[in-house]
Amino acid sequence: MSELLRLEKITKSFPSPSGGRIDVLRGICLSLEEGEIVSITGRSGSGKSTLLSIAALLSSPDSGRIIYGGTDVSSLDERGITALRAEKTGIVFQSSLLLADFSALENAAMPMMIRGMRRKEAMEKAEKYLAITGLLERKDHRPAELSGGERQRTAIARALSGGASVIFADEPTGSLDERSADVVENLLFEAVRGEGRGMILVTHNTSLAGRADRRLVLSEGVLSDG
Amino acid sequence: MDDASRLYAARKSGQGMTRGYILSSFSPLIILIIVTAALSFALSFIFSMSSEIERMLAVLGSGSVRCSVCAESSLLPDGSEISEVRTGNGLIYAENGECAVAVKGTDSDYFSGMRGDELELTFSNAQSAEGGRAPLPAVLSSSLADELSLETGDRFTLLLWEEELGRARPVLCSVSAIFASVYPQLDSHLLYIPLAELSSASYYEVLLPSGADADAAAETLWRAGIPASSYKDVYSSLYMNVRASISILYPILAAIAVLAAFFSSDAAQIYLSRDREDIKVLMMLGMSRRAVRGIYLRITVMAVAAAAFIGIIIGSALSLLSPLLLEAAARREPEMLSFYVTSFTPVIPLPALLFMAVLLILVSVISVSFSLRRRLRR
Repeated sequence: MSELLRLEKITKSFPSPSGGRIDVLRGICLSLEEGEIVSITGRSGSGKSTLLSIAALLSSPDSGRIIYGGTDVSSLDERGITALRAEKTGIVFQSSLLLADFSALENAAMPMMIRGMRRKEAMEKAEKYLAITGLLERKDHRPAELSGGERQRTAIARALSGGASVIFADEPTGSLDERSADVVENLLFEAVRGEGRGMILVTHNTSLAGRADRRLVLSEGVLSDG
Repeated sequence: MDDASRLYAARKSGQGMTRGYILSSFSPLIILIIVTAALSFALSFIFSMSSEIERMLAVLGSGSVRCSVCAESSLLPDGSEISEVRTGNGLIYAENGECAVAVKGTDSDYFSGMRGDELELTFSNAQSAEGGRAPLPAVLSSSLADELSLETGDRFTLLLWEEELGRARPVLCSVSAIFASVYPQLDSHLLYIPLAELSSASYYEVLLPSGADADAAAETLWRAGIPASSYKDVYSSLYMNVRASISILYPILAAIAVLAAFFSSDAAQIYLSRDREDIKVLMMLGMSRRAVRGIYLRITVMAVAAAAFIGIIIGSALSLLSPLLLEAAARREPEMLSFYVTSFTPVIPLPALLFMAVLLILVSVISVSFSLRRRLRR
């Protein structure tokens, strides 16, 4: 199995209200292999989402290296990082973060179009993933017309359809009822494992975290085996 | 622009959106619509008014071109009318008033062509039943007729000043026709009588078809050895006033462009705030800042262009109603509008309006580009 992502000695701190700085991440090291699912748990405010946002290239660390399939992100300019994010990452948040004025199909096709794929081709591919997530019949509905579970399934279709090698999921089932949560969990795990991708899953939910191949705990800015 | 940007820009510009969304997109640009409408109205009104005043300088003044010798019609544009004219001064004594007038001696067919068509004449049906010398037929404007309480068929005495003889001669006149006063500045003290009644040297008025170039016609006559002046030279101060009104509009256009810059960058900021969450999502999905800037530049400029277009349509539509408003105002306060043509055909100055729209769009492209660059900086 090849390595999809490696984080080396990632640090991040934020200014504290009292004037000093709070070290949220202290030299985090993490690697993710093809087909692997890694879960990260930790108390609220432990820095899980900060770590996920740095790994997903949504924010930058204070120090450390992020390497995607051999490409060191620190060697890239903003445009290169943006392109890498579009190509390698798929993100599913607790709130599905869909574009409110676009249909489920358009939302799912958006990452591919951003990467330069023609609209027609992107729509066809997005339809395939909406079918996998069981939303084909709702493809023309806008997010406001979908239930919470359906919105989350749309977000999963969007994350998968772009061909991302690493999926980042931040409490993907946190806002769903038990039944919808099961559906979304199964979808994510099957899609990631079945297509040889990797996933970093941030969650409070211990049973969800327990389904991962590796379980890590973030505490005091340090990752340890859970 | 990739398909994602195109789709996003089209949707945010209103494609597939509710009417409420589209209207709310225009709300930051309502002032721009109002200002553009006002300016379009002003442009249209001033262009219409000035072109009609220029026409009246020719119709009521001394023709499009005035020359001292009768020109060959082959030297003039097709449809031109040539009339021999003499001028003098006189005093009208009517039953209900008196008034000093400029007197113009003309042939009987003076009002039969274009001039007659443009000056809505009302003729007298009265026949002279008396023996002896019949009164002179006189044509005057409705503003002069109103001032002296004269109607068609009424009689008055004209004390005609004969400059060559150095004396005044009384003449009995009858109002043979009244034309609707359109430009009181020129027609409220003007009386037309038969040419033979005046003994001054005659000159020739050439009335060109509407839209023909008077300067070019005068130039042609000069080249043929006929001294000629266009109405622009004869009425140079009036003509310059008219031109000055138009030239005042250009600094106003520039001011509007600055306003457009303000409102368009303001609109861009409002759209960015409205779509803050969507922009985060697009960037999360890998859209570059540059692409986002491009999208919002396109959305804002399209909205500004649409607002300018709506403003121009509203302003132009209102300008079509301006003759009605002016005629109503002229009926109530005729003296207030003596420097205006009170009956005119509205002209929509398309090149000027297009220039204004292009200027607005160009200025908004520049201002929105700067605004987005500042706002979407990391």
